[in-house]
Amino acid sequence: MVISGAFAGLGGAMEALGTFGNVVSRSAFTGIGFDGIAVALLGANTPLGVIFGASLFGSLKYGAGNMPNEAGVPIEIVSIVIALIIFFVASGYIIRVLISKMKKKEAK
Amino acid sequence: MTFIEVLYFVIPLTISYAAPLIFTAIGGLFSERSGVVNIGLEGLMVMGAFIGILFNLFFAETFGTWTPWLALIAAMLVAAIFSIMHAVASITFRADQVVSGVAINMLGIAIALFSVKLIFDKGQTDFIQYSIPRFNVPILHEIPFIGPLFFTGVYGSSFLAIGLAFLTWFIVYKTPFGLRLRSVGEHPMAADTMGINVTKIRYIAVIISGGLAGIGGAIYSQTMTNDFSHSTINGQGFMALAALIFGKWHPIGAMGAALFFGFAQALAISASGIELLANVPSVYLHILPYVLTILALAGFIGKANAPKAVGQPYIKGQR
Repeated sequence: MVISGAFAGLGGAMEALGTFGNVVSRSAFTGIGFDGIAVALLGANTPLGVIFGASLFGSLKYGAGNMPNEAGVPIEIVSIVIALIIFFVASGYIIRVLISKMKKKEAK
Repeated sequence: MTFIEVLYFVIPLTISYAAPLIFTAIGGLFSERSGVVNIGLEGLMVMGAFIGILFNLFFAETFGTWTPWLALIAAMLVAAIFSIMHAVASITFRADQVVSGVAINMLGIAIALFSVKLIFDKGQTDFIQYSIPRFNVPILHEIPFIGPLFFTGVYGSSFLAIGLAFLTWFIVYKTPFGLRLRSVGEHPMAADTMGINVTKIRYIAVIISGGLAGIGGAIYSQTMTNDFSHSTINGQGFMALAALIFGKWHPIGAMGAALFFGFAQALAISASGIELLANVPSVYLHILPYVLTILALAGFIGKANAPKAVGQPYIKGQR
């Protein structure tokens, strides 16, 4: 618990000092902490997997900045995509069931 | 301002801030009593707030002064449909309920803002014409002291919220459905053995929780902000969840806790007018609701006895 808090604090400081260089006080949170949970889940809770998950999310977020200008699509579509990714990763059970059913049929 | 004037100002504000929290917390109660964690309350509230404002803007001319109440119903329906997603993931697909709830939160705010930008071409909606009206309760508002405190300039939705809390107490503790709901949340296998359809009860509970959270969001947006933007609902859903735990999964307890959190919010807003609090930096008062939430969740209230099977998907035949 303490270690996870320490890493989360490190991540937050990196965001403030490196990416933006300032802290904006906002009335709503940016939700980047929730993205962290999603990344951990997407990487199947392994350090190497997290790198890939984080890269996917990072590129999605970075790409979002250009979308309103280039394609006329609001930024929020990226959040929708991310939320759907989390949703389907979370309900991976049903996919495993489907796969095992397919295999049974092949065995017959 | 004298002490009495402060009371006359803060108490009605407390009740109007607490009403959405009560609705959402009661919604969470149905879901958690049936054994499904619903972190997604925040996202469902956002959805309700958005639909409420949208309906109000589009149909204001058709329905006139009835618009806000019909908007509540519309918000309830859409949020209930939205919550089916959480139900399917956490009951049928056996997903981690917390993770599915987080996805609902992100999806709710993202879909709402996406639609706002498509429909209005800017970051927030227009202001609504008909918000939920304030009124004086006839006869009762003439009672000295109690009248101005509870019955003058109140929102009808506040009475609905308090009525709902008592109705829920009756449903959960005095009806067959309530007994089934609780048994499914405590020991689903025993309930299944006795012929109760666990999946069906859980689906119904999650859908009810979505509908009530939608009403909560719509009440908040139609009484407090009167428009919808990214910061309309910021943390109220989590606060309602905290109120539910603070109230130990009991409808009346949850109502009391919601009133307490409403009081903290009202105090933050009205602090500048109170002599005792005028010198306290406003930041401290604004973080007060959140600090109280953390204290409540960190076990300040002692042993919280959650429903036993909360958070676990029910798998038939598993011991």
